Amino acid sequence: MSAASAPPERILRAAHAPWLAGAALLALYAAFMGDIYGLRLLTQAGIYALLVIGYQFVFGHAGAFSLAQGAFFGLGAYVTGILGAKLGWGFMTTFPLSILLPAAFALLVAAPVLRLETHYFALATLGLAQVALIGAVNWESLTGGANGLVGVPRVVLFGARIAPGWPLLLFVWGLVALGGVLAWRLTRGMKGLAYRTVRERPLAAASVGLDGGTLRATAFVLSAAYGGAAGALHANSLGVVSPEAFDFSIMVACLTMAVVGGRGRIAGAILGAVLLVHLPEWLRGLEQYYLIAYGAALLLVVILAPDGLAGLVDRTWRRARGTTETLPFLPSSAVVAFTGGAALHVECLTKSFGGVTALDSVELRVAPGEIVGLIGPNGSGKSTLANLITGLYRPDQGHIRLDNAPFEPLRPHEIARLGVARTFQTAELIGGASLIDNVAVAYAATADANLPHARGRALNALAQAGLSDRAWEEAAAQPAGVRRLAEVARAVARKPRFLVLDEPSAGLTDDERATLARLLRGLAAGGVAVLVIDHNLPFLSGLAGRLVCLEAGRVIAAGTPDAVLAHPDVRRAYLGAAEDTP
Amino acid sequence: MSALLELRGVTVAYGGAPVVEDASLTLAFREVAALLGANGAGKSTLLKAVMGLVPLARGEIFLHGETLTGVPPEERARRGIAYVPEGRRVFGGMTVRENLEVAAWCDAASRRRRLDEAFFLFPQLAEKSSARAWTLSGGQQQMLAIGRALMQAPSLLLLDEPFLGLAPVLVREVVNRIRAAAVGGPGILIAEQAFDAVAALAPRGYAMRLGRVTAEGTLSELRDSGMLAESLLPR
Amino acid sequence: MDALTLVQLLLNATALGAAYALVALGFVLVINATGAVNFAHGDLVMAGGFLSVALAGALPLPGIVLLPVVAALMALLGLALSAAAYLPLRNRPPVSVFISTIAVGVMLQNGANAIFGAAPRGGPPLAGDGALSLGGLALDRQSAAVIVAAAILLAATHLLLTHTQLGKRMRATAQDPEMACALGVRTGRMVALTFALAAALAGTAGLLLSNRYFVTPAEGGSLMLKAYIAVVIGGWGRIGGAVIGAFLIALFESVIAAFLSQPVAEAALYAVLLIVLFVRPGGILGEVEGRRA
Repeated sequence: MSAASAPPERILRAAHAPWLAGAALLALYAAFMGDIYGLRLLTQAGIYALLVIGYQFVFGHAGAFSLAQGAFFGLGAYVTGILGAKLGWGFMTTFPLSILLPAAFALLVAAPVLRLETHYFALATLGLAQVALIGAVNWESLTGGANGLVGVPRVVLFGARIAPGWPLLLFVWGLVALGGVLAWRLTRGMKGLAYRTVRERPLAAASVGLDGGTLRATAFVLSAAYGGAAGALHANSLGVVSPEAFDFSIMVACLTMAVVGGRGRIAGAILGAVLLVHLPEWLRGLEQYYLIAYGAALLLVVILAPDGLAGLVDRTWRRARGTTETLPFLPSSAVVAFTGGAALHVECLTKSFGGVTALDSVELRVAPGEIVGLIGPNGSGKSTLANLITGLYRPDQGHIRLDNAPFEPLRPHEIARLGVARTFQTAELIGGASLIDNVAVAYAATADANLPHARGRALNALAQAGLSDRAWEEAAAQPAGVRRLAEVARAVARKPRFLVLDEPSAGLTDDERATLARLLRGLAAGGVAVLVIDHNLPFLSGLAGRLVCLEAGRVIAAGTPDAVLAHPDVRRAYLGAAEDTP
Repeated sequence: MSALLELRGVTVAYGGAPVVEDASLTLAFREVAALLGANGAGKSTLLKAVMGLVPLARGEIFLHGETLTGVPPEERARRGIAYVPEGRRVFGGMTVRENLEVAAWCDAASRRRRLDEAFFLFPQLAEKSSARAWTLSGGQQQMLAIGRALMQAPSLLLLDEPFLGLAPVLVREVVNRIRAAAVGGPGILIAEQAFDAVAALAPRGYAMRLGRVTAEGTLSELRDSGMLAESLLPR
Repeated sequence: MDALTLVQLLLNATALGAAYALVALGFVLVINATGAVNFAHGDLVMAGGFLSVALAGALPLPGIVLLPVVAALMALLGLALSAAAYLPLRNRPPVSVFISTIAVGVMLQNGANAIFGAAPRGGPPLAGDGALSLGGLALDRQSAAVIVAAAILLAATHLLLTHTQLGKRMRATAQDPEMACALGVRTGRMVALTFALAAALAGTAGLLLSNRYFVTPAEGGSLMLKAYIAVVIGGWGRIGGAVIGAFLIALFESVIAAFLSQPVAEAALYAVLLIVLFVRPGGILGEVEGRRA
């Protein structure tokens, strides 16, 4: 197959045009406004840009509302300040240490802090920042107390002094460019998709084997490293370091820049930093009221530009060009071949929630190449079973294993890596992403994760689900049936050895249901063990070799579809009456 | 005289796909009717549409002959529609008594009278009147949700699977309570998938399948026609 | 330290805790109603303090008379806050409200700075200065008055929330807006009223604090932080928990600062907070409601 329409590289360039123009404009502005104060301001904007680019890792990509970024800034500033002013070490030594020490500190606290939920996480990071501030003010022998330390050395690079003014400005912005490119490389393509899935659909992320905890911790440590670098430059450029480096207003400024510029966007970080550093200057004419106008401007941006200014620029640019992006046609690889599965064993599984037994001594076995249907009234424990198998819940008693690999101590993403795939009762798709990217994330946890390659394979999986012509459409705009099928495609794309589907046929049209049945039969023929939870009994009895019926957490019948559907207990559970037998 | 509730060609769509399609039904004053269908047939969505919690793509709904188009849910509640959602949705952090009182739109004297009536209908709630709602059992929460709806003194009561997760003894109890309430009380539309639960309660009903109303008639007609069996359990 | 000093210390701690409790109460009400943190909450306290300073300058009346005026004006400010910073963003993620309230906070802080200047200002005493003689103990009149006033306001808020239809509807809206709406509650109005109530409580706290602790334009941030900590210690979303958390913070601040030093007290407060979070991620008093399958 060959590629039609525009290759991806060209689209990339077209979309980046306004940003290249913006960078040129910024350079022109720097070249012509030229007074010392203006240069100092722009240098400061560069330092903030570095801080905010770092913050985008944890806040934008990992989606964790950290309030410690200001503290990492202060930490970096004090490492440079103490080592420089007290010990007389030079920039070449203090700068790397100012990056490493905050990062090491972040690594140290990442485990207990990242375990916390949103608001608690925010407050815990804020608490760390406050402790750091109090330390800076009160540990006078080390930090110089409230007055801080004077005589922090200027930047000296291989013996060459980088003077304030143009040299320092260029040096700082050079680091911004370096940091920006590094951040872009660390979050583009498949890595960005992995972060997005962890952030927006944590359950789906675990189900494709992504370790959300490690990803979040990595982002936290990276943000600390950038924060430390920015703090160090701050100390070097001022020549002094004081507790103001830890002031909460720096954290507020950083957060504001990230949101106003555009959450998760590198261009947004730079735009936000330049704009918000200069805004007070532009409003100086209002005299003592300029900060009020600053607040009002901030409020307006938040209300009017939900994706920040970067999002606004992108939208406007796309509208101005009159077309939506031309999307590449990707060559799809050979038909997915399934080579063998594994047997799922569920032994004596019991689970209760707050004293109410949801599952009671459930036994279940799904052989390789077998499709088993799991039925039962609402609340009988079907989804609980799926959640136990995939590790979202821990069993109270009993064991689950795939062939001879026990699930017991494993976390959901580790179970997924054993070859277990699943779909959810309500499709766990990233609403704002295309179907193809939602499926491509299936490969995010594999060693050679590469987005174009993954998209090619994802397209193949979508084709098997009959969705190839919708591959580039946004998931949120799809009908429920399409979203479900796309999720099945994501599960299938992982080439699982065992697959569990939670109500896959709900909301599907007859055609879609036929496609689904064909797909699942194909998997089974390739040796995959399949467990299908569903309410649509004609669909299930035509598909499954065996049915298992749960009621109130117990298996009340198991066997061939005919036998199970004729079972008096099953008819009672469903129709509620013996007299109703036809 | 016009019907209490009338739906004409109601279509509800989530993200482009119709969940309820071209549904029409009527409910007379004080009538109790069942809405039968399997999981995912669109029953819950239909009730939400009547309450105004999901927008209509097409069609119109009338209460007392007046259109509900453009009427927000809180206004519909004040016009006499009460809704008991699937999953009960009681206010867990509030006491049983507060849960009941919050739904009463009347003066203090009538509020006390309605509270007494609710406690008379559900003595278990009276015993627990100062307990936080989340501490109640599932069945008690269901009673509370129904009691809360009755506090509105509604002319139309929408019940979404009120028997879900209730023990058989409790099912019978709730049925009797609703019946008691229906004497001189509201018209009731019950969405349910278990035929037996409503057989003794609703003389008439509608069958739903895949978002469409597929049959209408007395419950025995529905059962004999085979439409119901197809909606619930094939073969 | 003699017994009298200790009693006086505890009395001061209680007075401070009572004022903090009003702050935390307003803070948690908004969290419950909107799911978002109101970053401008501390600045509302500051605004109430300066409003008292301005009113006391214009009308030479005791604070207790000015209190209802401050509360009413602050309620209006709360309505304006909800209209500007919450309603346009109600369908966005909570972090948007965080930023929008930061913006309002910046405006309030710098507005106060432009009008009153950065220097600390003292507000009016509640009911005269001097000591109150009680069974041989000479107690500070201002502290006693603050405790009584705050207790009355806390009790009144409690009664409003639990014994009036309006209060029940505000709580119902906070717990499940869609269901409240289906019961006939005008939820948008309830949220706006919650902001008004929160601002009124914050403003009266500002009045109560302004005499003894003075008021400066920049103090909003640290007050917001204390309310935040009180809510986390008390359990996210728990109204009673937030009030208890506020008293614990005040006790901690007063007593530790008296025996050791102010910075040690502050550092210890955050250390305790971090330990609480790591050991009991749901707060000391647990989450807002239990779970039952």
